[in-house]
Amino acid sequence: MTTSAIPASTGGVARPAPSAAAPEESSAVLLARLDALDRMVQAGTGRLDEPLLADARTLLDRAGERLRLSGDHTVVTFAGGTGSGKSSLFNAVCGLDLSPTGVRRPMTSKAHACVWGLDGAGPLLDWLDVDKRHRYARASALDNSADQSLQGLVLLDLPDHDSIQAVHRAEVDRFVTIADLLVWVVDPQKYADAALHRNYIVPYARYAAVTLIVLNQVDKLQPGEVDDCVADLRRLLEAEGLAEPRIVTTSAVAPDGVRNLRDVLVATVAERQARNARLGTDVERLAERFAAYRGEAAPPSAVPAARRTELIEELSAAAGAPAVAEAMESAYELRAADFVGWPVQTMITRLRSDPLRRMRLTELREELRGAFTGPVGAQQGDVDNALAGVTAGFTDDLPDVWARSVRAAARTHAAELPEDLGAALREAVPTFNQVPRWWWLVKTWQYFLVLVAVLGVAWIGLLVAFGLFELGGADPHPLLGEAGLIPYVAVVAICALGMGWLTSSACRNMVALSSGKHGDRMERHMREQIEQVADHKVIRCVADELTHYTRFRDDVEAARG
Amino acid sequence: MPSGDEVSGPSVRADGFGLVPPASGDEPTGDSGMSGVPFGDEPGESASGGSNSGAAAALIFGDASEDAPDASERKLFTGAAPAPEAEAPEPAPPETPENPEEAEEPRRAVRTEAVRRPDRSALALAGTTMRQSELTRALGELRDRLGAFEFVLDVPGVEEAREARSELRNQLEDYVLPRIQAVETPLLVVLGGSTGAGKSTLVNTLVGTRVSATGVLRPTTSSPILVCHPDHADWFLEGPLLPGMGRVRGPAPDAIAGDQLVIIASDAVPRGLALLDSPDFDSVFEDHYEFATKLMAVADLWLCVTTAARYADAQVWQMLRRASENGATIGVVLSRVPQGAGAEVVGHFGDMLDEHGVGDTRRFTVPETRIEDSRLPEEAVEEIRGWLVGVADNAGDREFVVGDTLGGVLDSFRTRVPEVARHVEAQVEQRDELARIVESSYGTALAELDEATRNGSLLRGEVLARWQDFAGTGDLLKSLHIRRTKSGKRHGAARRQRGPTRVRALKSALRAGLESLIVSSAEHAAEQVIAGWREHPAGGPVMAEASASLGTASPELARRVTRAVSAWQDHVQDLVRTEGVTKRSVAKLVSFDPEALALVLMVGLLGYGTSDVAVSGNSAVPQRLLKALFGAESLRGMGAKARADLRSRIGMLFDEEAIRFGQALDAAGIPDQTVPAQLYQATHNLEVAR
Repeated sequence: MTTSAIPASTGGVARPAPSAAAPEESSAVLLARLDALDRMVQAGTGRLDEPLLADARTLLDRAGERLRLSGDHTVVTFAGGTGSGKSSLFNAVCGLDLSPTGVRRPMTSKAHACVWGLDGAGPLLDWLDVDKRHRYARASALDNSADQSLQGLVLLDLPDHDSIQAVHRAEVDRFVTIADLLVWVVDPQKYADAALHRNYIVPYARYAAVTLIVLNQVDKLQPGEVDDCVADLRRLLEAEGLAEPRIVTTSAVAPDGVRNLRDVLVATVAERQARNARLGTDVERLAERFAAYRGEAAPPSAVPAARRTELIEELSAAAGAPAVAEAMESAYELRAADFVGWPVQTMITRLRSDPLRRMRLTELREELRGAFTGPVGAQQGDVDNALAGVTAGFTDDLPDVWARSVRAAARTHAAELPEDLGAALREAVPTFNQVPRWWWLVKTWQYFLVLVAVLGVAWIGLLVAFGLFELGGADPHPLLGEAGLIPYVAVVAICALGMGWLTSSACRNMVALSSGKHGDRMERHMREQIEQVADHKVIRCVADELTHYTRFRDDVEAARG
Repeated sequence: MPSGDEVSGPSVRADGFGLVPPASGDEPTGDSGMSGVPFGDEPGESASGGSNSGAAAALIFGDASEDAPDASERKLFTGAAPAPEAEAPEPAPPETPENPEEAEEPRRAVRTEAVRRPDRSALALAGTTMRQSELTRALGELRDRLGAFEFVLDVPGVEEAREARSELRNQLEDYVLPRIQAVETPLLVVLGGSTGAGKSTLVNTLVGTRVSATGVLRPTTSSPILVCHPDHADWFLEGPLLPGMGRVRGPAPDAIAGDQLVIIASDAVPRGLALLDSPDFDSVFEDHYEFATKLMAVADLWLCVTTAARYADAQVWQMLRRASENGATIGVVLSRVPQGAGAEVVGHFGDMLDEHGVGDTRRFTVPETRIEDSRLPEEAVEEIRGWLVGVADNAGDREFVVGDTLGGVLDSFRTRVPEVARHVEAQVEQRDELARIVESSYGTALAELDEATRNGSLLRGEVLARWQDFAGTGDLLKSLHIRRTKSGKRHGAARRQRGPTRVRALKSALRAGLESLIVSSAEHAAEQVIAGWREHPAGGPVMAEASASLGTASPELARRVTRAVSAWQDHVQDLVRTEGVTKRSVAKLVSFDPEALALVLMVGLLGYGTSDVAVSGNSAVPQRLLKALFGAESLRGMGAKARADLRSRIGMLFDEEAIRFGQALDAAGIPDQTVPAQLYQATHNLEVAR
């Protein structure tokens, strides 16, 4: 894709140096870049601006079509302002009067095509959508050496782009988008027109390799003025970013006036590179637009460890893990008290005046006891805030759209997270619901002690009744009648009561100890569960999105070539 | 006052000159539009062309049936020019050949009207100054109003609106205001046209010497060059016309800054005429286009020069349309017509002129010839010269053209200013839409928050766990005391310690839950607004101006929310203390801890037992407890008050958040609804002043 700047003074044309790459080779490169563009479009769908993606899809379609169609043909368009002599030039190159010429403006209103070499040209012309009435062919019937050298040329004479006929402009736009070689025909009067430069030269400045500027009607200038004119035109084009513009001068009326142009066309057709060069520039230009969404800095491949830790902390807080653990500890202790508590003490408490009973709300007590239903969900607000925090910091370096999409990825499962967190916590709870066997032993022991105490008291009662008041007759059983036993029995009963109380407080301490241990274990367990949820539902989504972005960056580079 | 309903300057003027037999071929067709003018001219002598010309005539010369103010207005345009009187001391019939050498039909036609003027203007000398100052004030006001706003939003058509606005302002500044104050100055003919059309060559030829550079490089002329009679050079050099442009006294140096007006004095130009060679309007240089339009707006007569090669260019027709819309008087020159093809091209061009509604402009043709010393052969421009000199020599004709153009421009304001105002209204409309997005986003957030604080979705996670801990362990019941006894103290020290701990934990969990809910709703609302704005076509420029932090809740929000929520909690506690008068039956038995009961009330309010926290047999525990304590009536009252208080506090927070977006809208400088109203008013004032 090299161009040679043509010395303006000679007005002649040096043939573009033959490109190093063969057409097949450049096709392979082009295909790879188109693939990258395709992947970019896929990655960008739903993330990037829709107009850009639509343009990219259009280009992919167009490039696919063009690559499928004849690669032996080079589509060349003659475009320019009204009255610049496009049609005269077209006729001069063709050697026949195919396109109407005249003094009325605008003259040509439909594109005319002339084809050298018919093989495969039909579908190409169909695709270009040239009216069948305006198709001409220079086939072998009219054979001469010059025509042979133009074999593979599809020459299009376009309507003007600057007249009051707006439809002409649309027609030009359509062809300029799909041509392989763009030839802009200007004349000494109109070469600095804003309409041409602003609408075509500047937007297509990148296409210098497949652009040719023809300064037509040089016969209207004095010989000395031509060079000035070309130099001025060149300065103008270079200022507009057209690198090394190729300019040829022509005159449709002078004998041999289109030689220069014909030489360039022959060289371009022989090379068969214009198509790939044009499509390559198309891809490049689009890739530049995609590049706006490619940040300079490489993104992290995953969520930084510190952010992950923070997220887990915040999700734990959102689910209230410490509070759940504490509540479970309380519930555990309360349940333990039913088993290991000292029944006597419980009974005494019951007997005391109870506000609920006075308010006739006794059943509320049981309901309140049943309040321990285990963890339910998490605070949506806390979860949202935690998710907003997880992407903070490292998304600042990303381009806007990607920062947004990474943040959105973090929130993919935001709505389900509270439920999931609740479920994760419930997984961890069961260890608390079991009743250890020793509670039953203690309970049995406590009731045995109560029994002993009760029996003791009863015995003392009997002793008192029989021994002191001789109720049971004169000679009761020695165990009942011997008043001297009272102190011993009393000691036993008191000991039983004392032991019960002691057992109860000892067990309470043990329960407190083990509940603390359980609580810690449960908190650990809950944390593990929450980590799992966080990894599955947040961290992985963010990492996936980051991978998308990384691939997108690589693809942009690949497409830029 | 102009009596015609649509007064179009250009056509009128064209008619004024349109009687040149060879080109326009318009034969006088009567004075249909001039029926109100009571001067006894023969119809054949008056300008023809239908109502337009009649309206214009009325505009300038007044109508006999109207009274003094109209006469004074006439006076305004003609100024205190004594020249006509000197030239035509009595309103003699135009057929009377005052100057026998004056053989040209058009001049006569124009003069006919011109000579009528003096006797009318004499009627209203007294009112003139006042009228003029009023008009100047009205115009100044219009100019200021037009400058007082910006088109910030990119709505469809905004580019045109911006251009129309600056065009209006420039025209007021550069042309209308100076013109009103100095009427007797020469007729300014501006040559505009495509690049390469030969404007400079034409000027050189008309002046008879090379005053403007010509050449094959495009574009050739970059500085506007004004050629006038030496007597007027000083006026143009210092004069108020085009106040924004620098002046350089010619002959033009080769390199001068683009925005300088080069003024060249030449004896070859008649006294009443000034020629301005303007840059092209269609080359790659944007500033040329700007100059060309600026100069077009100050022209008393705009001569559009185009060529046979480009007469179909869209740009040419766009400029012609624009000139005629802006009230300019137009002439067209088709130059570089190739030999032999003249008839076809000229014919086609003529058809196109008719088609575009400018068919009655004066037309000239210049053939493509060899150029010598930057000049055309004299015979090529004879026609144009004759016409220009004819107009310039006669003060009456001149004033007719000047006044007609001025009238046309002022008339065009009637439609152009409201057009701009409509665009401003579109901006205002967009601004309202953006504001509505803010309103609806925060409204939705508030409604969602209201729902979330009612349906129990807050009672999850930590809040629920704390509640379970508080309620299930019996601490709740311990907050109710039996009167007369201090039984609670009998329990172990450890228990007593834990009670308040649990109350505090529940309280802070509730606060934290509410806080994060409010903060996240506010964040969400802000995001919604930004997303809405991003979608909205007008959102872009506003967001470009605004700081990036607009997309998230404001940094102080967290602190404000904390304050608001704790204030609410205190408020609920106060409610429980002051309004929570226990039922008499219960009051005898129990007392209670207001802090704990306030928490119970809050948990109940937040919807305990109403939704997914509903656990069998456990529903509405707080409500039942509270009902038993306070009675249903009092509980409902407290609940309603507490909820209303919460809502108003959140509403206040959100209002403060939403204000930031309002500020962003203000900062973007989008005009508000007063601007279009002022513009309409200014237009109306101008009409009144006329």
